[in-house]
Amino acid sequence: MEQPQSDSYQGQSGGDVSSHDPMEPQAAREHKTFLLTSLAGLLFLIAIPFLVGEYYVSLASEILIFAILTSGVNLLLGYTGLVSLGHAAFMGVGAYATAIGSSLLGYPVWFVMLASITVSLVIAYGIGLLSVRTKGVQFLLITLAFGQMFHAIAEKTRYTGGDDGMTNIPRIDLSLIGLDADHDRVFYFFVLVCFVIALALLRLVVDSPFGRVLVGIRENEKRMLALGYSTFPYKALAFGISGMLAGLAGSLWVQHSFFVNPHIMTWQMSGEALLMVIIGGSKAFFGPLLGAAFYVLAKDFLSDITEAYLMFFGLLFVLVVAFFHGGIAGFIARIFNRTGGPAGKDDQ
Amino acid sequence: MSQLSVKDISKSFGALSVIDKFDLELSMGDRHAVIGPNGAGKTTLFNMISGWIPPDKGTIEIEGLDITNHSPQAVTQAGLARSFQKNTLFDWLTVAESLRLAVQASSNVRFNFLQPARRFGGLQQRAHEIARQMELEPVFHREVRTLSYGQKRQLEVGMALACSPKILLLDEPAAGTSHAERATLVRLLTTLPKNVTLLLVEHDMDVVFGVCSQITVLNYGRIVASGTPEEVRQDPEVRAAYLGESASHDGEVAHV
Repeated sequence: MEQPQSDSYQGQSGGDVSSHDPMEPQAAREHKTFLLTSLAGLLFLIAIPFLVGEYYVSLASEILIFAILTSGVNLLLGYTGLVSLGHAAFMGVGAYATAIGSSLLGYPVWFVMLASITVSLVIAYGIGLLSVRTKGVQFLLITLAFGQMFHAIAEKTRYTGGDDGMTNIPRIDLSLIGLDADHDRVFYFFVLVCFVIALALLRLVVDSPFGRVLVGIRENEKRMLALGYSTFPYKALAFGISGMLAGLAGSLWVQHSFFVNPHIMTWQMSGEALLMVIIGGSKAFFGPLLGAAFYVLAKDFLSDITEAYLMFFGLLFVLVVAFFHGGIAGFIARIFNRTGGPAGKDDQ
Repeated sequence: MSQLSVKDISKSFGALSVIDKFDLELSMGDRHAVIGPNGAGKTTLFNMISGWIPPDKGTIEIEGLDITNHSPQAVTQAGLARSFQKNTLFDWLTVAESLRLAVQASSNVRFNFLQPARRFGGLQQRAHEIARQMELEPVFHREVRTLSYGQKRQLEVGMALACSPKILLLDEPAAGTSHAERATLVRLLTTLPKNVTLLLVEHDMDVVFGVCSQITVLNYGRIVASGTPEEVRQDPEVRAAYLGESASHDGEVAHV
């Protein structure tokens, strides 16, 4: 700070600011913005099946399922600062657990879903305990290795159809409330309910003292250690929660498409999840949802025109990283800022 | 019983002996500085005491508890917090959020993951107190990266202080500061509560003589002299090794 020597005792002293409310005005405002955005978004999501045709309702289901996956991935990427290339494996665990439980073993789907989520949480937490002791490239490689391992298991297992996978997987039975989930509109609402529960849980987590610790780890892990935090258990639990959401996404995915094969757990799938998060905006809570929406819609649009839609994605990714810091969410926040709307902390 | 007791610790990196048989006893409320020219081993010493580097031999105790091979986080939990010579802060968080994280570390809510952090008003209040103490109140809600360098140094001390330590280790708190910023820091350090024991490594003699009542002089990893500022100032070996030199390097940015 450029300060003349003579007034070193001024300018930095507290003055009467102590009368200020110590509650953070910005945090309170952000919370309000968040609630309003969520409500508006939810109303829009509820309206979708009444506005568009069956095909687009199905696409919307796909978007929400991917959004559960990517929001989970973002707990690691955006909040904790960990890049995992193994999350497709947990999606696969959720998917296969659901397929095996319902199709091969004949358990009811609601029960199988709960089991799938639990299994993904436990497996992800275990793998988290092993991987979060590393960081950077090492972490990326160890998660990649675990992911490939699960992929190989799925490919080699005769019981689940090996490389061909399994078909005719049932959707959840909603006959108790007089509905049939085989209708895409009905299934969409079921996915929406799961999505809302998943994101509400995630919001609780990132808003909690635990969530603040994750952000501290992202910002400066060395300082967190110096403050007395043992960072491993925090990172491992974040990894577990993140894997659990991936598992839920997988469980919904097999019901959505009625089949599963090992392709769902390739490392490319993990990479595409990361792309969605970054394109959508990793610094914003709803960034991954926007990324998933953009991904699914653009893929649908581009694949009509060309097989090489991923090339366009690569190009877009480069553009976002180079010019649109904060992704789509950051871009939107900047527009709002310019018009005097809510301040976006999301953009860099 | 002394509060911090460092007995006979040594550290070598390969053939190079960085710290050789270092001893230090601090009682509650002491204001102690370790000084020495660049490469004297001050930062290595600090890293050993705060758990970042294990010593080759010797023991370190806090109030009789052996912390010699404890991790940094365990050392902090045992009551010894440190600051860093090079700013180690949360650039994209506000001062309030940073201090709250620091306060939260020693509270029992740190692993709570299903309640909003803003509900814990006690943390916020304590964070605010620290900000007031460190004269960071006007920038309480600003992001750390927007602070002046001097304010970042104040926060660096504040973060360590927010751990409610018994012993506070400050690694060159005034490193890289201007004269005016240094004056502020000295004033803040002299007003720290008396029940906190202070151990600092510092290059700047204004800070050392302004804050500390006991000084240990280190050169090539060995204690050259130890005593009150006056005794140290008079010591011929010290004058040769350090003070004479430092006068000509006044204002240099120190990197040990």
